[in-house]
Amino acid sequence: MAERLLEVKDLTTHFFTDDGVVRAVDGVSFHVDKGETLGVVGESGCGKSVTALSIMRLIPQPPGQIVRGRIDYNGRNLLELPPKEMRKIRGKEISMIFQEPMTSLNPVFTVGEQIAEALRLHEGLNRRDALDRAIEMLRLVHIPNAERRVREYPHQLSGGMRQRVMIAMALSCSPKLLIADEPTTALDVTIQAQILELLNELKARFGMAVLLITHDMGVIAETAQRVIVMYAAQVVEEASVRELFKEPLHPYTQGLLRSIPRIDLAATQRRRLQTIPGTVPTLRGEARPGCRFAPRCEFARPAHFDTDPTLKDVRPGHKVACFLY
Amino acid sequence: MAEALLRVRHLKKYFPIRGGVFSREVARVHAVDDVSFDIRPGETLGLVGESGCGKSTTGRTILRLVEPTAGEVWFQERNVTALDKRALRQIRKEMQIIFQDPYASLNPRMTVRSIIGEALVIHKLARGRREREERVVQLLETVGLSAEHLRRYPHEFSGGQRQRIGIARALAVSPKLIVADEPVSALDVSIQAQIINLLEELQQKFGLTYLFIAHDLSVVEHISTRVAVMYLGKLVEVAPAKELYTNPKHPYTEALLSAVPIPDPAMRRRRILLEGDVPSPIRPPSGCRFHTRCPIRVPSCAENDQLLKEVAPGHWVACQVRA
Repeated sequence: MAERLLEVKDLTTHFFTDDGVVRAVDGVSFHVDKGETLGVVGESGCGKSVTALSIMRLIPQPPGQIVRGRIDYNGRNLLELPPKEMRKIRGKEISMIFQEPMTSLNPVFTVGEQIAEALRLHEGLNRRDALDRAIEMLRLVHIPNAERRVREYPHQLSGGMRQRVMIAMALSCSPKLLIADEPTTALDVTIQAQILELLNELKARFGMAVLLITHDMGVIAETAQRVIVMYAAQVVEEASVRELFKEPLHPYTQGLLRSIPRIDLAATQRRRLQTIPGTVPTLRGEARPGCRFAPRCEFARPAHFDTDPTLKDVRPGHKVACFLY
Repeated sequence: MAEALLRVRHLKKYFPIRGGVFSREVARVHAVDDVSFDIRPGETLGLVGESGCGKSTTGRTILRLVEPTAGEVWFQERNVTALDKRALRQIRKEMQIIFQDPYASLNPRMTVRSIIGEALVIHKLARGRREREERVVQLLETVGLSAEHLRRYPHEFSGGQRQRIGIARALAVSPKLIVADEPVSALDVSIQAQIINLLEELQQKFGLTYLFIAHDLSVVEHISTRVAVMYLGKLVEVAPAKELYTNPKHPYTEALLSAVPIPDPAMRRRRILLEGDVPSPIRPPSGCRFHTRCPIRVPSCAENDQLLKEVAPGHWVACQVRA
């Protein structure tokens, strides 16, 4: 039996704006086991990034607020930790990489100084040792000429290199969990392939768990062991990668998988792309009852608009929030 | 074989980099460097490549939204590159463009009615307000919107709907050729599929010809009749879509295809990982531009310029090792 590393229960994060409450994350529950990669997939605005930021307690407050739920890590509820304790976890136990490496690196410090900062803070290294370790980290993420690069500024690096620096920074204190929020979305496919390969290599080497957030089903299929699918601030399905792609249960997951053009299928299997009619509902304003996907769902019945479906086990390890099961 | 609708010959676009006290030209970005291809009526030519390879500049240079440095573009019997301003405006009725970011390309202060109606006014395509209004409504319905959207502003629409407005605007002048520059890259997958299907329907209905520019190989494969692969300002391979994906010849095309993540965990493939990054187009490598990252290079690749050679009917490759 795999060991639990992180358990998120009923996480609910709202943003209180001038135009009303935005229910960005609404009762999300899932867990991450030690050493596994859990994929979180969903379209823009489904709450996947806010979930990640909530775990890191990086939600800007105000306007944001975690209004309900708990996040258990190593027997402690992260949501109850004082800021000082949380700082010991952030970057050391759990670290995060973001989509746009240029905006998450500080332009006025060299990459070496930025990697060294975490090492001095968390590992108590002096300036010199920290810089040596930074060079070591750059080598680990396969940056050529690490001794020279360590003295360069972010703008002197290419997009792929910047993401490597971000990874070096995130892994410098050997975290148990790495949260990767769309780590390859801003990169070209050949560079994306390099970065995914690197993440897989380092994951095996450090034995860390990864929470991989992406909108790309292909990236999920190739890197994750389990997946949760999010729609309109909620988890609608959870399964092993194999099962999710072979037998998706939720009509939204099914629609999502059918709407992707596939280059791996022979031309004879080619078809008109299937679409999901309509658009994603707004998360602003009063909470309305009923399945959130019902307005776009071909199987919806009137009753589905009245009560909320719950996420329940339909097979071992396969959960779905849908009235059809 | 049908006569080409568009012929591009030795197209070049270099952007000057100026520096120093007198703003002299100190270097040039070789964005498009001797590119030639044809587009036949009714087909979709997909143009793929990674960021900075010059695919968008190629699209814009064809419409002369960017002036070419050298080369010729022929639309049917007219040399687009030689037209004066007035004639150019005339020919833009035949060639239109759809952009990637539908928000940035729609004027936020204009209603949908005036965004789409503007082209009708400029090209005098409608007599009077009534007729114009009717035509705009008709265009909105063609792209899956309706008359109720007439008075709204771009910010009131979702990304997918904005792209529909962009398409309606392009269709307003009944063009023959549409350059679609990353039209679905900014959209979510479920919305992306709606727009791709719409573009395919419109092509059927109006007999449109597309130059479809994108970095997403799966999308390009789905929509294209033929595909051209671009690397650092040059075409490296051109082939019918099916042929290119099942039988790629250029090592860059191979690497590009193998890098696409496949949404099927049961599938395991050999992945060709390229070394390093794309070199700078300011000082592109000598000889074959791909030789610095190529897994099958031979010494002479650094010296010899590579020209497209036909290896099978309609399949062109610029690689001395493979062709």
